[in-house]
Amino acid sequence: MTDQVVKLARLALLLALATVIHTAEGLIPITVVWFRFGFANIIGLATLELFGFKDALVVTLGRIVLGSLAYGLFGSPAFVLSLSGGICAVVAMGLAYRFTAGVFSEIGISVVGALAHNVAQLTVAYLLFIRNEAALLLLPLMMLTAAGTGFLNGLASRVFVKHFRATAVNIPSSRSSECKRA
Amino acid sequence: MTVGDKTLLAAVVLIGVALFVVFPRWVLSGGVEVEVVSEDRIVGRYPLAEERLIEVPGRVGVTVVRVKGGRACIESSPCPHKTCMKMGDVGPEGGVVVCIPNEVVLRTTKPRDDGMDAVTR
Repeated sequence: MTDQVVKLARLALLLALATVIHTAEGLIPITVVWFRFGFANIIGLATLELFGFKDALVVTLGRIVLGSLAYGLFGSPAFVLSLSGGICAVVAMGLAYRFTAGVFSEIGISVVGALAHNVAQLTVAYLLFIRNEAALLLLPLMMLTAAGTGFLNGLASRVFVKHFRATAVNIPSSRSSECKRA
Repeated sequence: MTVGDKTLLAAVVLIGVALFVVFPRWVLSGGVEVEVVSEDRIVGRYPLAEERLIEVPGRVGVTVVRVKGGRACIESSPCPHKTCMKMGDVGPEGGVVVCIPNEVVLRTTKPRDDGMDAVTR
């Protein structure tokens, strides 16, 4: 019981953190930096590592929905792009985390996520909104930015997880059975 | 940072740079035909060599496309600002003329072989 509550509280905190980062990032003037850093994915990746795939998906979907509600963009093209990118990023990171254990550190997984995010966004933008091959010209540029932002976010996520593990004692997800007996 | 990380990063950067070189050539390759698109449907492809007027029904009304002297332009348009008419013409160097309100797009297709990749303006 208690560990469930602790887990819920921590996930809620992560979701709140992700939403704030997601929203705050939108305040960066778009004329200076036309791409998004995807800092909110730091929390998505950390959740994946701390609590597993399902919770990472919930946190990511939650922050996209809440963030877009905060902006009044819910249901807009920007929201659809954000959603498709977010889902693909989490799925790709989940697969990379699960099936390539030891090959990639947080950095590699983060890059995989950033790549999946950009490719999914561009595909959806092409299929739904732009329908002109000229849009695909952005792909190489988006790949390069994915490498950069993925690297940065991976580093940040590593620090975050390390800090989280050090400060938050007794993370219950891996040993819930033990806790129930006690 | 593991070996896997470094390999992945290097691969992504390399492929990205490679695509930078290959993609514009592939996507923006010039052509000898003009493709006319109206509301996401391809209305037709017409050779630039033959002079003609094409009436293209769009969302707002009929856009008239003129092909003359190896170039295609929008001759008249029902849209309010006539930005598409002011976009000029597209020829074999490749390019796009767009009318947003009427959702009509002209673009030239097929590669040409005189060493020029693309022309922007």
